[in-house]
Amino acid sequence: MKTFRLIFSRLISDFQRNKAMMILYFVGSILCVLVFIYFFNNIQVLNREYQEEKEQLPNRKYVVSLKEKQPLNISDFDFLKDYDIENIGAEEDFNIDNKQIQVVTFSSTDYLYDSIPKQLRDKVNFSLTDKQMSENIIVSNSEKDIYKINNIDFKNIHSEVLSGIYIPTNAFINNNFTTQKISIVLSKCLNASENSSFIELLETKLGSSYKIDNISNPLDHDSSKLNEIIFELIRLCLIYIICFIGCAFLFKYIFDMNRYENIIYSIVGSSKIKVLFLMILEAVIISVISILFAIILHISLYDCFFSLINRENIQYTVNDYLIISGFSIILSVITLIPFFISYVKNPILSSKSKYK
Amino acid sequence: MIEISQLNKYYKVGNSKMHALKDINLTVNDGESLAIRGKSGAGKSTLMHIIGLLDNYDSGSLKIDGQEVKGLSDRKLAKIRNEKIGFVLQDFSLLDHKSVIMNTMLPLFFNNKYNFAKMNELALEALKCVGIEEQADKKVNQLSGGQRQRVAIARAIISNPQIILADEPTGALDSETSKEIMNLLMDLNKKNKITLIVITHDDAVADYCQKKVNIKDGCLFDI
Repeated sequence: MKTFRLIFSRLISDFQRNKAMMILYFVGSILCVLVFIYFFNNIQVLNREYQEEKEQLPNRKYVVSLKEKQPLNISDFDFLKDYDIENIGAEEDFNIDNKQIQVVTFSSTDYLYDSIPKQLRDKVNFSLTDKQMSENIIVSNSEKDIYKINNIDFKNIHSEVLSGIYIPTNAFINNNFTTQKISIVLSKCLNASENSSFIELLETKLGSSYKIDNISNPLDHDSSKLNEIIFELIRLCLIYIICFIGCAFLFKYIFDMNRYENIIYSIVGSSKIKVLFLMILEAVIISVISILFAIILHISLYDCFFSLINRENIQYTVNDYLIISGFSIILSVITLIPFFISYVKNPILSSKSKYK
Repeated sequence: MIEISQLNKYYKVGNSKMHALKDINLTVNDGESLAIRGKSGAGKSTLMHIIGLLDNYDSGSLKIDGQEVKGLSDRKLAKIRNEKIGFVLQDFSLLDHKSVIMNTMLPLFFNNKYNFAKMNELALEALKCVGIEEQADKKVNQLSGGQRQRVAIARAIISNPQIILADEPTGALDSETSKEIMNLLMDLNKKNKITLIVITHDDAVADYCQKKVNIKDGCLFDI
């Protein structure tokens, strides 16, 4: 209890000595905590959006362009068994009903799901049997019963959410169709070095069976949404860092004010450890006061302000507030490290004349 | 009792070492008053800081109440400073923005023996001892130099120390106030049997003490 009295007496005299700076500090630190509250959950939303966007189809798809049309042989792709492949297929234009229409082949229904917008995926159920996966079927949003591709009948399975025409890869191969574009879709994105290795592997292994003109690199895919998310992530981090640095300087000013007092404590019989403990306790108490104000402000103004600036509807739990509080306190204590080092290193009396 | 034997202290000055205290031998018995005189830079404050456990020494021995202090941990040294030694310094070393009573009871915050109520009581007693209890609630920066030094003395005696170390206690005071302060210190020395060591360059101040030693170029001489 005596220790708390001492700390509160320090805080009161800090306030009396320099009201303006203390008010500035508290306003700054409350803002800092509010920015951190915004940062904490929105960064998780951004991170999730980033992961989801990264896993979009264009970022996992390799298109092998051939110099001339060639038939596909599924055994040519056995070397990919160590990879998590979502689809191996072809993309080719066919004359259907006197129109040039692109037909895309699929080796799994996962690819069909991937090809439709995310919000519509729950509305469909592509349940094709293994037998159907080798039959002459088409999946499209057309109402037609039969499509003719190269004079071969393909039975249409209607799906209103799908745009485009899809046939099983096996049907493509079985009918000896030829293509100039082979597409390989992985289930997950590769990182930059894995990506380079994978493209090299495709060139080496497929190059012996196909006359390869070019292999597209998904990393070259222009994803403005991804860039937007990355930019937003960086912006958020920068805002927080700037806010924190500003607050840290104010915090430093408060502790600079007390350097002389810490030295007097040593002279009258406090050990260095005790003085360091008092400094930490003071930092924690100041932080807790700011955090409490910030959380009360956040909760009171959530509906009319904070919810409007969030990226999506975020519900803050008690756990969230506790984690944010914990982080903020730890960061405050970390700010004191230069003071600790300076206090421990310097002899008491040389410091006294320096800081009076 | 303070026993110093063959004590040496060096300071690093650039690439060389300065021999600040040379083979100091000194014994101060309980209840004695000792004046250490010397010119500026002679080493008297260095010696006082070492006796007060605010600085360390390079060789020799310092014993306080028979206990060798070299090698003691910071915590133990702080405890001895807190319980056995009181400091009265030229610049008063008070917290100007805090109240007189808060300054006085400061050492007791680092002593586990007393609760706050008892600390308050002891602080008022100490202030009464130095004749300044009516200023208890004032801020230190509202006091005169003489009053501030009285507060410093009250703070120095609040833990019932065995030793008071006074480094130029009258350095910042006029002659009239200086006499009052020295009389107060001598009173505490005689009535409370507190060992008093006064550092001074002023012969008039040194004359208050029973024993006097001179320090010159880091060496101690009896007078």
